[in-house]
Amino acid sequence: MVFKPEKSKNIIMRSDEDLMVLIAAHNREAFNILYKRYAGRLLHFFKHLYQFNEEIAADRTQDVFLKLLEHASRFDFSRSFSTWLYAMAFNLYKNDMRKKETEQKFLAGQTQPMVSYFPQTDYLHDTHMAGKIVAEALNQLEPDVRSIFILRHLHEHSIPEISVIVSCPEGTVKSRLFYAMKKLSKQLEHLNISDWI
Amino acid sequence: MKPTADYSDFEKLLQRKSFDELNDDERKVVQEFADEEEYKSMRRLITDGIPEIQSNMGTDSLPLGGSDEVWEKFIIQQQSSKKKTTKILGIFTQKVPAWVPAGIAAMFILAWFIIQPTNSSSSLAKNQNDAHIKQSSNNKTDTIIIEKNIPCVHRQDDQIASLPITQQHQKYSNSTYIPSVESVQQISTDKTGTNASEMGSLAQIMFVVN
Repeated sequence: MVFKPEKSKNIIMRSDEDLMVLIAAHNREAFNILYKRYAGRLLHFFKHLYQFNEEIAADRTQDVFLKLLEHASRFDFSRSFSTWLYAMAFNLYKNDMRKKETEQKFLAGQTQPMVSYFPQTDYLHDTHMAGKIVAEALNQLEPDVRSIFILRHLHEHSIPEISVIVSCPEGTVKSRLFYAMKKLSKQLEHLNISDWI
Repeated sequence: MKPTADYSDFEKLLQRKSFDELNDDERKVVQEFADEEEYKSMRRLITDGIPEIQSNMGTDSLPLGGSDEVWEKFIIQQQSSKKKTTKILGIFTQKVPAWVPAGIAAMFILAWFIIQPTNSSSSLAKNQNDAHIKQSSNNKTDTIIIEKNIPCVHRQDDQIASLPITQQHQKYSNSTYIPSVESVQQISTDKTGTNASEMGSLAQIMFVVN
């Protein structure tokens, strides 16, 4: 499918897909605009995935945009740009999780402490009480469940979109969302929910 | 028990209505997923906790290097991959005088002409061997099973008939003729059995009758 950007539009007003056409032709300005649109969201996404480790979150955000440049010419215009971008981000996270798992398996028999991403909770002091409690509860979820919950409720992706991003059936996405909702609400009940607001 | 209602419907209700606002049908859907207390707790999560986290999304400062850092990394990556490709293809891209490729081509053509005649003559000979039946200079004996009716050609040949027929093979005009059937019978004990090919070849045997 050949996708042609609308020439009349100002570059800032252009859609993500229009900008991708320009980026594939090595247009730096188009890249800067797309970066500004999505870098904040991705950074926030990674912060929650990596338990508020800002350094890793920032590195991964840059990695996603580097991948975007590398694969710009292969972007499928029949797909939503946002879904494509988040899928790349999720794949980076999944790879990290796999590496971490292997490291932990390797270190399991040794005396050294387990490698972890050392959650940074300073970030939580800036948020209000309810947000802080939810963020802490989110950290307790399994990585697969946490990422789906974040995509659905924090980044407001639809269930079919999440299914594409994490490459699993919609039914699995729904059951994980329900599981996350149930587990979070239980944890929040335990944390004296009446003090939330 | 596995809920029969769709989770998406439950999620919509969570976002839109408190437990007290639900009608009977909606309560049925909700009760498949959670009891009243759970529903209230989940609704607080959706309506109070999550929006607060979402509000932080815009306040995060972007990575230090920004888009420039990514762009520069990409350019460096591209340049290094180009350098690698040029190194590999370097020998093909070097400038050479025009006579070099022409000379190489001429050498190939010459080599082809030198090799070709030998090849073609040998292959022709091979083909000829395949195509023509060579007459054997050796004396051959064959077996005829007497008990069976063997189809054969009975040829009256005046020239041959005029020759004296003995028990031995008769030589005439570079051809070997098999003597009378009696003489063939004598060597039939050497071989047993018959098949279609034998029948075919026997059918072509020329023999002279007394």
